[in-house]
Amino acid sequence: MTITTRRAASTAILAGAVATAAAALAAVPTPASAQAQERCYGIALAGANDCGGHGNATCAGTSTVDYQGNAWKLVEAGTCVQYGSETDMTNAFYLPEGRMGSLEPLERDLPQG
Amino acid sequence: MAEPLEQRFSSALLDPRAAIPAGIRRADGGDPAFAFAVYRNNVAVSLVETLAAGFPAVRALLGEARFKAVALDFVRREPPRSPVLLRYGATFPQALGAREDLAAIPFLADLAALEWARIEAHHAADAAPAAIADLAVLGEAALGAARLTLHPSVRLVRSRFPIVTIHAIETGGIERPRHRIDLGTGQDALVVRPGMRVAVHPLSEGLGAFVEALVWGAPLGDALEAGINEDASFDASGALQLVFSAGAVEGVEQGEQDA
Repeated sequence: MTITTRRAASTAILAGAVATAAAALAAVPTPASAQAQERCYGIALAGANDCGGHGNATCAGTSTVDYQGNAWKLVEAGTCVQYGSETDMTNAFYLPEGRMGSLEPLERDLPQG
Repeated sequence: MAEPLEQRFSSALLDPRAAIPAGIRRADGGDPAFAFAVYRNNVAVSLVETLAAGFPAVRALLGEARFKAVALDFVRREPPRSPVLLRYGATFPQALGAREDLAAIPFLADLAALEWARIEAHHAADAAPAAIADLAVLGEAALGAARLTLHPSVRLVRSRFPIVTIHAIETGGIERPRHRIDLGTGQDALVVRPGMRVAVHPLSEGLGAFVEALVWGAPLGDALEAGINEDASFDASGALQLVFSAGAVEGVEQGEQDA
């Protein structure tokens, strides 16, 4: 095949492929909206916090205190405020001593020093 | 002339048999040798722990004791060059591959490369992924010359071993199979973090070549050819669906069209 005919062939394949792929992807939600998450402060155990790569001071695994107020963990969107609402210690939303999850950084449980 | 104190201090820090550098004393007048030994231990332990946290699959494969010994050896040979700890470990995969005593695990270096790619993706800049509609709006004639700019977190690891499967098994992502897995099936891995979570997508033959061409900045037509060259039954539509739905594309650039 000459370069020109090969180009023509790949253009045809591409056009078809883009159309099929676009149609297939139109039917499914984008990955970002499919699993919306939110930052929840004050719920991560020491060393188990998350990191978003932006200029936040605390990065993944750097919290040193359980439930550290300025460290966050990603949770399913809308569930952060449920943390602390359960009194059953085996429940995933249980937090000790009346602590609550927060969408904003908290002043409690900060490392000393 | 004697080496400067900083030099002697840092080399003694990494060599457990070295005497403490002359000129070191404790502010409280106590025994500097004991204090230096504590510091030396802290440095080594914290760097080994950094590697342990970043390479969980390698750690699981080698077991705690062996991993610790291998990591400690690496720490002494290749101490950090940057004060930023999250950049430490980039050369760990190569170092593992170079160790003759680990040659029985031929895929170890590739597995470690996948874990390092995950770390890099984790700390890469955030960006909103593009949608395939951005490509679909281009005219048919412009598609071949168009370039897909990849998301800043995209990393490609190509291997002749099934590293994605091994990684998932060793990190508990999938159940350990009852039978030995076929080590002869290679897997390329596309690592990307479109939102907050790092994802690893196994790529079949052809897809690896396609993504590699995109990584090098090749126009879409050339990337398609690269895929077809590696696998005659290369599925171009599937490839586009994968890179867009994985959030691996940040933008679509219109290229120069043929005259």
